[in-house]
Order: sequence, then C-alpha cells, then structure tokens
Amino acid sequence: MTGFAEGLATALEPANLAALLGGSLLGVFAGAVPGLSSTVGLALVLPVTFALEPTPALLMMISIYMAAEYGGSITAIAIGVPGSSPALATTFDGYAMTRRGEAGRAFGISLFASMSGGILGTLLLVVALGPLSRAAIAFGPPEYFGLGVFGLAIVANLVGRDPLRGIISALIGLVAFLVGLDVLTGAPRLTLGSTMLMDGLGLVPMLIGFFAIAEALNGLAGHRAEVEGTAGMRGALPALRDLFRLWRPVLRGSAIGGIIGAIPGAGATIASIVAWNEERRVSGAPERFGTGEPAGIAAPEAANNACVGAAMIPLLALGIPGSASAAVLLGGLTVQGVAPGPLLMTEQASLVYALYAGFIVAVVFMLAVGRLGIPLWVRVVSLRPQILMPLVVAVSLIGAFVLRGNLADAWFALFFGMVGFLMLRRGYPLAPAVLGLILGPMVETNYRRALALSSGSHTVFLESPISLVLIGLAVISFAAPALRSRLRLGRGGA
Amino acid sequence: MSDHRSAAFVEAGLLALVGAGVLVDARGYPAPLIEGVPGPAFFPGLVAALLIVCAGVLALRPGQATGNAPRTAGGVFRLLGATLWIAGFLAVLPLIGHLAALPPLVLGLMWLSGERSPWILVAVSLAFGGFVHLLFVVTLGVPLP
Repeated sequence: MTGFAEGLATALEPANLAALLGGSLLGVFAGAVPGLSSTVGLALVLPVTFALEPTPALLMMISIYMAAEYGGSITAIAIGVPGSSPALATTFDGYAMTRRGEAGRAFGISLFASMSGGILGTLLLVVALGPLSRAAIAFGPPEYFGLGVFGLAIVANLVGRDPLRGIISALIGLVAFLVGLDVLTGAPRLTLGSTMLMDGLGLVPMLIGFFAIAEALNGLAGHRAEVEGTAGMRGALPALRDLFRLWRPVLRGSAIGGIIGAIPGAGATIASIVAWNEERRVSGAPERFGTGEPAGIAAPEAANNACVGAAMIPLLALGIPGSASAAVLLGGLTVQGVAPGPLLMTEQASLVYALYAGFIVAVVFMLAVGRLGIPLWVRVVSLRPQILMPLVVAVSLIGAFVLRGNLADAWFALFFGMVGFLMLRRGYPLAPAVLGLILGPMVETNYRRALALSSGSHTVFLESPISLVLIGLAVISFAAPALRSRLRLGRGGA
Repeated sequence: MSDHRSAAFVEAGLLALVGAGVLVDARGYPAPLIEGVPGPAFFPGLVAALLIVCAGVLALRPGQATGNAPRTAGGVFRLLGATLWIAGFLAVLPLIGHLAALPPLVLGLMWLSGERSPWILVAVSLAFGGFVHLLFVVTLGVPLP
C-alpha cells in the first residue's frame, strides 16, 4: 500500500499530470477518428516521448491507450462507424439509441462503463500480475483455436432475421482474410499476382468501408435510417440510478475483458464482442439487443477498457505484448531503458507503482475529457446528414491512409464500401463479415499449428481442458438461438 | 419468375462464382509442409465449399422479399456519382495533394447529398481541408499526400 501511495504521489506531480492529460486528449481523438486507433495514437506520440523522462513518457502512453478505447465508442454511437475495431460491438446498440434520439444517454453509459472497466482492469493488473501472466502463457495453438471458434460462433447471434445471409456474410469476411500471404508458409493467396494485395485487405479498410462508406452510399440511395430527434443534453444524459442499474453488465464485461485482455494476441475487439454476446445470452430479453439496449453498450465498453490494464499483465510480467498497442508500449518502455520481465517489480518497483496509479489518474482524465466532450459529440450527431456524412467519408479515407501510410488501404475501403452497400441492399448483416476477418487468422493459423504439433491428430483439441471448454461453449452459443426459437415455438403451439 | 427469385439467383450465382474462384486459386498453393497437416489450400477450400453450398441453398429456397433497390433514378445517379467522385479523389490525391483534393471531395459529396447552399458548400469544404491539414500535418506531424 505504501508503494501505491508513493506511485500516486509520483503520478500527481505536475509534469506527470500534464502528460496524463495530454495523453487523454490525444487518446480520445485517436480512438474517435475511424482509421486511427490506440496503436496509431501511441505510434504518433512515440517520438515525442524520447525527449521526456521515463515516468511522464510512459504515463502519457498509458493514458492514450486507455482514452482511445473509450474514444472508439464516440463515432460508434454518434454515426454508427466504430472509431476503432474494439468499438464494433458498441455500434449494435449505441447507434440504435442515437437513432431513437437518446445519443446523450448512450454516450453517458459508454463513458461510465469505460471508466468502470478501466478501473477494474487496473485492479486486476495490481492483484493478478503474477498468477494471470502464468495462466496467459498456458494458451497454446489448441486453446487459441478454441477461442477463435468460440468467437466465430457468436455469428449465430448477429445474423439478424435471415440466418443463411448471416452465415454467408461471415464467409465473405473469411474470404477477405484469405487475401495476402499465408502466415505459415508465405504462399500468396488470392492476390491475383498483385504486390498491393500481398499485405492483405486489412481490418481498418473493411470497418471504414462497411460502416462509413457503405452507410453513406446507402443514404445517397435513399435508404439510411435518419436520427429520429436529438434530445436536449440535460434531459438526455443518463441518471445516476440508470447507470448503477448497469452494474451487472459492467462487472461481467470487465471480467471478460480482464481475462481475454491478458491473453496475448486475443485483444479488445474479441473481448468486447464476446462481452456483448454473453450479455445478450444471459439477458431475459435477448431480442432487445441490437435495438438500443443499454446493457449492449455497457458490457462491451467495460470489456475493452478492462483489456487495457489486463494487456499490461503479460507485458510487464513477461515482456510479451498482449496487443498491437501493447507492442508499441513495449517499444516506449525499451527506449526509456525499462526492461519488462520477471525482475521488473524488484528492480523498478517505483516506476511500476507509478504506472498503476497512472492508470487510475488516466481513467479520471478520460472521464473528465469524455464528460466535457459529450455536448460536442451530441452536436455532431445533430449535424444535418448532408453535411455530416461527406465529412465522415472524407476523414475516414484519410484515416485509412494514415494507418499504414498506404493509399491502397483507402482504395480497399472504397471497395469494401461498395461490397457493403450491395450486402446491405440484399439484407446481409455486416458485423459477421467483420468477425470473419478478425477471427479467421486465429482459427486457421492455430488449427494448422496445433495439428503440426500433434502430427495431425485432432485429439489435441480434446486433450486441452481450456480448448475443450471453449469449443463446448462455441457449440452452445451457435445452437442457442435456434434452440430458443424452437422452445418459443413449442410454447406458442402448446 | 418474380423479381425476388431472379435477384436471389443472380446473388447466388455471384457467391458461387466467388467460391469457385477461391477453389481455382487454391489449386495452385504449395503442398502441406508436414504430411497429414493441412496446408495453405485447406482453409480456402473449406470456406469456398461452404460458400458454394450456401449459394445453392440461397438459390433453391423459396423466394424471400429482402433488401431495397435505389428508389429513384436520382438515387442511382447519386450512388454512382458518389462512388466515382470518391474514386476520382483517390486517383488525384497523390498528384495534387490533400489540400487541393479534399475540398472538392467534400463539396461534391455534400452536393450529391442534397446540400444546395453555395456558402455552406464552399465554407465547409474549405474549412475541412484546412482543419485536416492543421490537425494531421501541422499538429501531429503525419505526412499526407
């Protein structure tokens, strides 16, 4: 406790507070602009940190990481375009609330859940640094395969009214992931001989294409659902008791984010989608999810912010980055002469305690920036569509370019925009395709790796208890919607 | 044959074509590195086969009314116009740079969206171009074309 108090005193020094505040502002911005993300925000600020002392440099970076996870929900709720991939699940209910004229309430719930998830993830980091880091490295190819299959099974809950089109949408996402070099052999697949396609189509161009450009094209064709009305700010913000009623989704989302975030390579996107799906599964009214259910915002937002603290567990304890953003953070630590690993806690305990405290202060700044920003986000929502959508398309195209400094990504975004428009026109849900693109690599690579390790024996997936449980959960998750509707039909017929 | 049925046939045909294309491409992938372990062609083959099966089910099942066609000729014009306008922006962006390319992009999309006030069209598009330059290039140091 003395160590934490000293860490808090360090984090509250003026230079460190300034770094944390600057990080929050940049993080919210990086999270909110489609195409940018916590990873890009961290990469942008990395050269700036070279000139800083280690503590403010690292505090600024964790503040960006934390705030960007919240920032992604702003555009997800305001215009239905996830600012970054972990906010994908937030679009399902967040944008539906905005269309109902409850944007302020949705922003408030997202901010409250992000704050709670951030704090709970940090507590997990403090308490479980040792044991969870050991558990995280127990994840091998069979376990990752099980996690990927479990994630893909969520498609069953995202298919909408037509399950066949939902499954086809997921298959389209899987085809999109196949474009590029095979990770295990380096063989080009579906590249049509073009070097431009060797790097793959990428998640960000798909997100921008599907959710920004396709929606804009849909609006131009005369099919976009308009916002029903922008409620006044004061009345629109959620009441405190409204927020406290969401403690269960927030706790469940934080727990899921804490566990999945600690697994290297799993990431906040999977955590938030799993959290949304679990919330829908345990809800007494699953049919309300996707139509503007507050718990459908609270759970994924708590999950993606809990991932931030959890991703630091393998990073600090083992030197293994749990996500792309953590990998940039690792770069920042290395530049500052900090060597993460088992000896970090004994050799640089004061810095670690300052980081722990910094996470809490970063959450407070995120809350302040987010709360002050809500009137601005609501104003953005109330802009006329003929002004808002062109600006969204333009900034999204710039964001697609900035990610890798490659104009090809902006062309891919346009391509996905046209595909997404056609899919929307024919009644295909877009989220399963995104899930296919995200989880395809995890499923395929780890399936082949696991079989290579077991000389081709499929029993490897049944020998691992974690893999077995995850595959079992996948079967239940996939079958649950069909079983539920059968049961309802049975009851109706009786 | 109803419009819905023929649209479903076209849709299924396109999906089957994509699946067949993946299968043809996968035939050229290298053999597995370890015997008995799936190679780079296994997963594409599986996905393509599933896509073709789903396309078959889509074509054969009873027709379902789904989706929307653009309601008017104006809708089609705006749709094609916006797509070509964005493609044109991406084509000229490396040649003329973001400061010159962004305002016409925004102006054109706003006009296609139905904005007709010349003041708003010009002011918003110019302000947006300047804002992007100030934010990305000047403040964040991100090089844009």
